[in-house]
Formats: sequence, structure tokens, C-alpha cells
Amino acid sequence: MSDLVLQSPLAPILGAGDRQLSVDGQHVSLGEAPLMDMLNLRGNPADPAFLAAVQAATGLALPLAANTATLGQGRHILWLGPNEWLLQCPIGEGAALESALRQGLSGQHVSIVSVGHGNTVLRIQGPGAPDLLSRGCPLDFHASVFSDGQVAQSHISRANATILCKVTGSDYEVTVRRSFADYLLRWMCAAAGH
Amino acid sequence: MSGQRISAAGTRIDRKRKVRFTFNGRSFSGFAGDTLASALLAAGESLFSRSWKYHRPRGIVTSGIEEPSALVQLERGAHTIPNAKMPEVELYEGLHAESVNGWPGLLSRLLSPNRWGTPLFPAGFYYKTFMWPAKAWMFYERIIRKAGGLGAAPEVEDSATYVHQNAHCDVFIAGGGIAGLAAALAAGRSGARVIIAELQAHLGGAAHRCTGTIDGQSASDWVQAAIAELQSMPDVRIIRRGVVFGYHDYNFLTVRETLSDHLPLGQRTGFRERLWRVRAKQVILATGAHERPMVFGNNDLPGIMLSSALADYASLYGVLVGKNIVLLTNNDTAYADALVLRQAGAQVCVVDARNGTLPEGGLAEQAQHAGVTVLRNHVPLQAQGSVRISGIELAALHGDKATGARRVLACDTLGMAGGWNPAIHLYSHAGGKAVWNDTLCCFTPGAAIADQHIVGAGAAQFGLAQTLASSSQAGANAAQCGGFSAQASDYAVSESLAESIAPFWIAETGEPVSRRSKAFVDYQNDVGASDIELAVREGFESIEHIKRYTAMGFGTDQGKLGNINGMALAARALGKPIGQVGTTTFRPNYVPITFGTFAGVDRGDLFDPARHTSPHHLHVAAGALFEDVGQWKRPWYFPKGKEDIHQAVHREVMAVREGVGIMDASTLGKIDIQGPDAAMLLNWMYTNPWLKLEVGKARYGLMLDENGMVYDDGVTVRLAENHFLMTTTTGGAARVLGWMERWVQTEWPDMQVYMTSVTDHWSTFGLVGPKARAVLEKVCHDVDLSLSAFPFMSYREGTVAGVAARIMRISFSGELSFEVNVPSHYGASVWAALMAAGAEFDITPYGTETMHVLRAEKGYIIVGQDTDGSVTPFDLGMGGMVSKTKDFLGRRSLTRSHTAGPNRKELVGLLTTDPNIVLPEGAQITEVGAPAVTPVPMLGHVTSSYYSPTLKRSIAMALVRKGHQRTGQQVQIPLADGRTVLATVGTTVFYDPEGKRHHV
Repeated sequence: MSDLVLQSPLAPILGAGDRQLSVDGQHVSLGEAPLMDMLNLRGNPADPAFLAAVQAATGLALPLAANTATLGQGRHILWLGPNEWLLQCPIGEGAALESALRQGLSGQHVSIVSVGHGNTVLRIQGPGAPDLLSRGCPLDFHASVFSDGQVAQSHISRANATILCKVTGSDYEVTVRRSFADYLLRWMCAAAGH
Repeated sequence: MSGQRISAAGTRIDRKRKVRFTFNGRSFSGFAGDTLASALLAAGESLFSRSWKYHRPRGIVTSGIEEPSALVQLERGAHTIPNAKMPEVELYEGLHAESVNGWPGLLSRLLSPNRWGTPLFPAGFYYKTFMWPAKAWMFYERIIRKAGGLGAAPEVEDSATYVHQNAHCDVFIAGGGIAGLAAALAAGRSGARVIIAELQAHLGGAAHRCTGTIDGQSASDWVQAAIAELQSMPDVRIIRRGVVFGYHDYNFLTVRETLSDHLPLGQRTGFRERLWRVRAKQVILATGAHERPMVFGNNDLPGIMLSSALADYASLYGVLVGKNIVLLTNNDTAYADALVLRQAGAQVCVVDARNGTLPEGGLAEQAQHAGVTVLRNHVPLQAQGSVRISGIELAALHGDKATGARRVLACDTLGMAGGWNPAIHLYSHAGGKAVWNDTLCCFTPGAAIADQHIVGAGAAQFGLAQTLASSSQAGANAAQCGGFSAQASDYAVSESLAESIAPFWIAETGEPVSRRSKAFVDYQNDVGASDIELAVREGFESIEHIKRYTAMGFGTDQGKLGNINGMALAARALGKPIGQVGTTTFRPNYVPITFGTFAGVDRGDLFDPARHTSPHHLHVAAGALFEDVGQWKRPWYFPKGKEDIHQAVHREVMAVREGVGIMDASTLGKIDIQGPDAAMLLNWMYTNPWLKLEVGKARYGLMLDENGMVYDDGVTVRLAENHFLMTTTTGGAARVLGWMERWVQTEWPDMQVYMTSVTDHWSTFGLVGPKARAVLEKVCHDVDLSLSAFPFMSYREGTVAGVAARIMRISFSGELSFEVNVPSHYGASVWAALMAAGAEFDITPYGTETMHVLRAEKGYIIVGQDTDGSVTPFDLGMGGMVSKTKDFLGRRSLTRSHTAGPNRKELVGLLTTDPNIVLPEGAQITEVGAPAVTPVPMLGHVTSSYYSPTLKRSIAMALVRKGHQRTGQQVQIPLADGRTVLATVGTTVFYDPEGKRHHV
């Protein structure tokens, strides 16, 4: 079909522009990251073969420490649980990544589930970003506690959120279910007084 | 005489900036920096309200948060704030205030007989007086509420906005006075993360009343230097206008920061208040103390205030409340106040309950040198005056008896300095029990609480040196607990010698309190010393009971001012030491908090998330009305033109039965299940067998809870040998995933299976109706859609409108149906393509209402509508779904005597005798000709009921006791409007019982 389009959940309300917000006088830019493919990966991290196969397929080491991420060029692996990770990559690369993983992991008890279309990523950037997050999330976003490469699964107001710190204090990515994206964007704008 | 502005002093006001405002309809002006209280006192006003029970005239008592009397209704309409305390209201241009207790007019005498009728309104008078006749309360209440009530609740929606913010710190400090600042410096200098919250707009607390020096500076200068240093520390956050109103478990504290109430209405942009939710490793309470009033006759006359408040108004706002001032005291602080007032130009006499010679170099001596008259060994008996004090009658003490010579001192203003009550409220919130200190005459914090420190006047440390030393040490200790290397500072303090306090609770004249002039303990609730004695005489002994019987400590001030006097008088009446009587418990909230503060941003359409499916905006554009299903917004129906719901649903149903409809079913829960034990898990979860389901096939399952009751249902597809896709009800998705995870994680940890929610990843569109295949064939060319190649209850992968799709032949309508699942970022695009492909067949989008009618015509249940957690598969007539040869969750419970018994409510179909009557859902069902006893025995209730366009008559489903045995029998349904409807019990399958229509 010629008119087939990928549409992010926030495209209908964000239009082209990110929201420029002010939080206690500090600037925050709130927008939606370009769409990503995502794979939910389950497997046994105690199995060296599992770790090696994932490294080979993704080019990234699986983060084994709780609440951390491995950040690569446009491709991240987020720790979600002792045997669960979220792989994020530019849209279009997911299918190849999935098939490479399946090939490398064949015979192992793993689960690989494509979930990219079920989520979107809000980008929250600027010096006011930690304070804006803290208006809806009870976690501590101070630089000494939550710095680049760290991940937290919590909530922002009433939406579950996986929060990744890319640059300490100023650049965060919030992965949220697509059905909550509209609510969360509007909530964060309201929490910034807009 | 009345108050006036003096030329000297007034550190908080800016005399160059006039601020105009209105109070009770009259125009006034004050200065920037004034409070409403200081500006009105400066204008010579002294009468601000009438008391709620006796309608006695009342003025301002305090300069702070503990104010009981001077309450106003601030502003009108959407901006209105009831019961604002005048000393807390910062003045702004155009402020509008009305007394809250003014009805029927401040100076009217209409209700003043109450004043002379005090014996008619004793303690517990509500309980005694208005209890009979019971019906009359409604009448009494209207008058009492109006005459005695506090402020008026807003009548329109609050136009202000509120926000919450979570915060974390190593050290949280409640109170920004000298103690709090010293603690913050010690902690902050170590690099610890510090939050300090001060309820006032200004830091420094009582520093302006402090006569000593710190490192050679005045206390006020020291405060300014401390603030400057703290502001330079990046990890110290200072919250001004931030009242800590709750101290909860594990050092979780709630702080209300007021952001815009001090600004003119037109300049209020942004949030009105911020609720800080603070989680602190260590807490330092530096909350200071409240001055105690004194109990004597007519101690509520306007012009009688706290001694410290008189000094505050003079030094902070340049307002001298009177020219001829008497200060009553039993401790030293009144002398510092006297010095301030004397310097401001007043004649001042201090009446001290203490005897003996003045200590040399003490404050009393300094006051005398400054021209303050001192009268020692005297206590107050009663004040004189009608609407303002004109004099005070004193008695000389003989020992501790007030039986000596009496004399009257004329005065226009009276200050009370009855000692200081440490503000132990937050300590009490945290579970602390206060203990009485006989030497200091106050309740002090008792046993220490982990990770908490109490310093300064809040810990009954009334000396400057002691306060600084303990606060700095606490700040350092708290930071050390967080792993920081912190040190306390040594401060060089000079302060006057102190003479210890002497207890004074009420003059011991030998006369019963009830015979004397009314002496108030709690101004806001009009509780007098005699009321406490009466409560004790009537048998109340616990202070908690005395409080509730007299209403002492109720209301907007919660007894901050008067409670301790009340405890002491109760102890006196009971003949017990105060320590044995104890205090009542202080609970959150420390001050009244508006609902908006708690709501924050979560109001209106942000009250709860509204979850949207991928084509949501297309549904909006198509004119759909939406129904809330869980948090989802689902299209309810799609009216065309001026159709009402019945016309629209009729059209949508007939389109599905005769042509083709399309429904957005994306909200159905979808769980991806993978692993060698995936089939075994399903076999446990569902009542029917799953091990032998072929790859590419779908099966319907019923899930039970531990009690054997239907918990969820849905269709699950076997995508591959070890890979299933389960669908759940829309509302049950998260619950079912959690339920399965619970079993796998806690009971079957060896099971090799992983579950992942894919509800949002897949958008699901049902193409439904006899022409569904024709539509799908136009956009799907790589799947053979024929009945033989793609039979009912099977699954294929293919390409729909250019997108890789999962297609299932399942049906919730009884018609030919293809459920197309596509990745959601393509959802809107595919929906549009299906609509375009269906245009030539007049494809009709339909919503949940039509879905409900279609499924009811087929007798398909909806879990949660036709079931309610007490219904088994057998009750539903779905016993065939229950395997006899395997175990599953809930199975054992099905054999319990009641669950397997003969008297169950069972799901049946109902057809009303009159086909045009659509029974209301929830209607009760009774036997035909039920005996005329009340209550009439109920057989059950209607669970689903619709008008069926297909059958051109009403249909209903109902849970009816022994319903399956009643097939063919009549029951009756009495309606709320008095009619009784007859209906016949039958099958729930009203249409196409052979299921021919979907096997095509």
C-alpha cells in the first residue's frame, strides 16, 4: 500500500515540535524519540553460552548489574530483571537483530518478544529534567544516585515507566507503553505548569 | 487606644510601597511586607471576629500560625480561601477579606445575649441540648452553623493549580530559625544533601527577638550570613513558605510550599502550592516553640495578645498595638518584649508572677533601666473592658495563693507571656510521646526516635548558646550518619542571665472557677477553665475524653495555643501532676491543607490515565463516542447524523449480521508465552485441556480462581510448539499476567516458561460479517482465506495492507470473522486501509455497545458482567469446558459442598412476555405469584439486557437460583416504577444455536 505509514502514538498531538518547558526556571525539552524497535529478552545469565550469543548478535554486553544499561551507538540494552532485558535499536533493525538472536540462541530456553510497537520513548532533556521527573516519580534523580547508564523501572504519576539516564542530570529517556503515551505527555506538560 | 505605625523599626515592611486592600467592605492600605494582621493593627483595628459559641468580640492574639481568632475568608469565587489566619496572610495589592465569624455583623448585638448567658452553654452542650427532639437538629444545625461556623466552603471549582514533587536528602530540617540554620550549616558544609523547610516567608524564626549575640554579631545579622552561605551550597535546598504538615514512617515527610498566595490575583501564574514528598535519611526537628497565653477572667478581650506577638508587630512591621501596655509573665522573655515595646515608645509595665530579687545583669534589670515598670509577685485575676481591654485586675501572691491585695492597672493593651510550649507536633506524628518537665514547665520530647534529632526551643532548649551548640552538633551528626565528614561549629555566644520560669496556670483565689468571669483556654472553641472543671466533675478523667467533651483543641488551630493550659487545668481539677494527665496526641496535618494540594496535577482529564488505541484519533474523527473500559477509551458507538444510541446500535448490528462491520479490539489483553512448559502452564491455568492443541489452532479457555470461580476468559493461539499468544479480557490483562507470574514464581519455579505482555504491541481489528472475507481478500493476498484452508478457530500469518499480520478466525459475534493483528505503529494505517477496502461493502465501524448486543444474541458471556466472582463454569452452563481428566487451578474447590450443591444461581436466558420491554440490568427476579411477605424472596438478577435488532425483540441473561431447572417456566421482575414484568426462562443462545453462521 502506498499510503502505509508508521505512526508514533504522540504524532497526532506533538506535531513536529518538542515541548519547551520551564521547571522552576530551568529549561526542559520534552519530546518523542524517533521510533525504535524493541525486543524483550529473557534467558539465563548464569549460562556463558547465553551471554556470548547475545554479545555476538547485538555487539553489546548484556548488563548484569541491576538497574543498569549498556549504551551503544543507537542501540541499548536495558536491565529489567535478573533474567530480563529490553533491547532497543533504530526501527527497521529489529527483525535482523531478532533473527540473529534466535539463531545464536537456538536450543536454549529463552524468550524473544518484539515489543517495540507497544512502546514509545519520551525524551526529557535540559537542566530541569530531574526535577520534572521527580514531580511524578518517587525515585531519587540526584546525580550521585542516578547517573548515565542507569535504568529505573517505576512510575511517573499513574503510568509505568522505564527511565534511562543517558547524560547525568540533563538527558533521560522514558520508555512507556504506547497507550499511556498521550496521558504521560499531557501529564508532564501539566506538571511543568503548561 | 488603638494601634498605630511608628516611625522606627519594621524590618519586614517597605514604607515606599503602599498596598491597598479591603476588609469587611472597607478600604485600607498597608505596606509591602505587611501581613493582613499587621496592616489592620496599624490601621487601629482591634475587633476582627466574634467567638463561635458566645459571640464574644475577639481580636488578634498571635503573630503566627497558632492564631485561633483572627480568621478571614480570603477572596471570592474560584480564589476563595476559608479560615485564613490573618497573621499568616501576606498582604498584596487588591486583597479582599471578610471576617469568618462576623455573622450577623461584627458589632451587632443580635446574638450578644449569649455572652451573658454563659451558663446556658456549658461543656458538652451539643450533646446535652440539641439531642431532642431528634428531628429538630436539622433546624438547630442551620442556625448554629451560620452563627458559629467557620469559613464558607468554595462554591465554584478552585481555579488554582497544584503540583507534587518528590525529594530525597541526607538531612531534612524542619524549621528555619536559628536552630535549623545552625544545623543546616553543619550538615551542608560537609557536602550532605540538605533540605530545610521554613513555614514563614522569612528565615530566622525568633532571631529578631533574641537579645544575645553570636560571634559578636546580632542574631539577625548571623541569620543573614547563614542564609547567604547556605544559598551558595548546591546541595542545600531552602523551602520558604513551606510548612511540614506531616511526619510519617521511615522519615517520609510532607511539606506544603505556598507559591503564589502572596501575590495579587492578577499576578498569580503557575502553581499555587507544591506538595513536597520528602524522603530523608536523617531528620532534624527545629520547630521552635509557641508562647502560652495565660488563663484569667475575660482573657479574650480584644487588645489581649501574646507578649511575643506585641514585640513582633513592633519590630517586624513597625506597629505599636498600644501605648499603655501591661505584660503578664512568669518567665524572662516578656522583658525582652518589654524592651522592644519601650523602645517603640510605649509605657510598659511587666507583671511577674515570680518573687524575689531581680538577678543582676538579667533582662529584667535591663528593662527597668530602660524605663519599664516591674511589678513582681502578682498574678492576673480578670481583665476589664467591653470591646477592648481597659485594665487588668491583679492579686498579690501569698506563697502560691492569690489571696493578697488586689489592684487594677489601667492599660490599653495586654501581653501574655505564660511560658513556651515546644512545638512537638512532628515528634508526635512520628510516634513520640511527650514528657512533662517540671523545671521548664512544658512538655518536651521524650524517648529519642531513630534517625531523628530535636534541637532548639522545640527540644525546650531556650538558651541561645545551648540551641546553637545542640543544633550544630545535630547537623554534624546527621551528616555523619550519611557518610559525610562533618563537624559542629563552636559559637561564641553572649546572652543575659536567665531566671527560671515559675508555673502559673490560673490564680488560686480560693473561689471556684465557675463563679469567676469566663477565663478562656481555647479561644477558637470557646472552651473555658470552667468547662474543663465541669468535664472533670461529670466524670471524664482521660485527657482524650476531656478534649472531646469540651471540644478543646478542635478547629483550625488544633489547640496549638491553648491545649497545654487545658492539660494543666485538667490536672489541677483532677488533683494529679500534669505529667500523669499527659497530652492529647498530635496527628497530621499540622495545619489545614486544601484538597488541591493532595490532588496535585491529577485532576480533570489527568485524574486517571486515558489509554488510547492506535487508531484512536481516527475514531474521534469518525464521530465515535467513547466508553471507559478499565483505563481504556473504547469506541462505544459511531452515530451517523442525528442518530441516538439505539438507532446507531441497530444500524451497526444489522450491518454485521447482513454485511460487514469492523471493530477495534486492540484493548484485549495479550500475553506472549514461550518455553518448553508453556502448554503445561496453560493446562494449569485453564479448565480445558491444552497439551494437544495443534500449532496454528486457537482455543477458548475459562480461567478460575482458587475458589473455582470464573476469573477470566479468552482465546489462546498456539503460534509454535513452545509459543502461545493468550488473550484476556480488556480489564483483566494486568491481573491475569500477575496471577500467572505469581504461580510460576512462587509455586512452580522449575517451570520453563516466560511471559511477556504484548497488549500494546499488537493492534487488533475484527472484520465481522458475511462480507468480511471479501473485504480482507482485497488487502491480503498471501493467505488462502477460504473455509477449507483457513477454518474457524485457526490462525495464519500473512500480510494485510502491506503489514506482517497475525490473523485469527475467532468470533465474538457468531458471524464470519477475521481478527487481524498488526504492530501498533501501523495500526492507524491498517485501520484506514481496511475501511477503504470495505467501502464498497459499506463497511460499518462499531463499538462496544453493538459488540455487547451481538455477543448477547449468541449467549456469549462477559466476565465481570455475567459473572461476579461467585459463578462457576457449571453455573454458566459451561460444564463441558471443565476437564474431568486433568488438574487445574480451582478444580478442587468445585467439589466443595456449597459450590457443588443443588441450590446454585445459574445463568439463563430470559424472554419477556412483552417483547418491547427491555429489562434493566440489575433488576431483581422473583417467583411468579411470590407470597406477599417482605422482603420478597429474590431468585437472582438480570446480568445483561438489550434490544436485539436481529430478533426484533428484547433479550436478557440472568443469574437465577436453580435457573437451569426452570427452563420454560415463568418468573417475574418487579421494576422500580411499580410495574411487574413476566419473562420466560430459556437458553442463553438466542440466535443461530447451531453456529452455522461462523462456520462459513
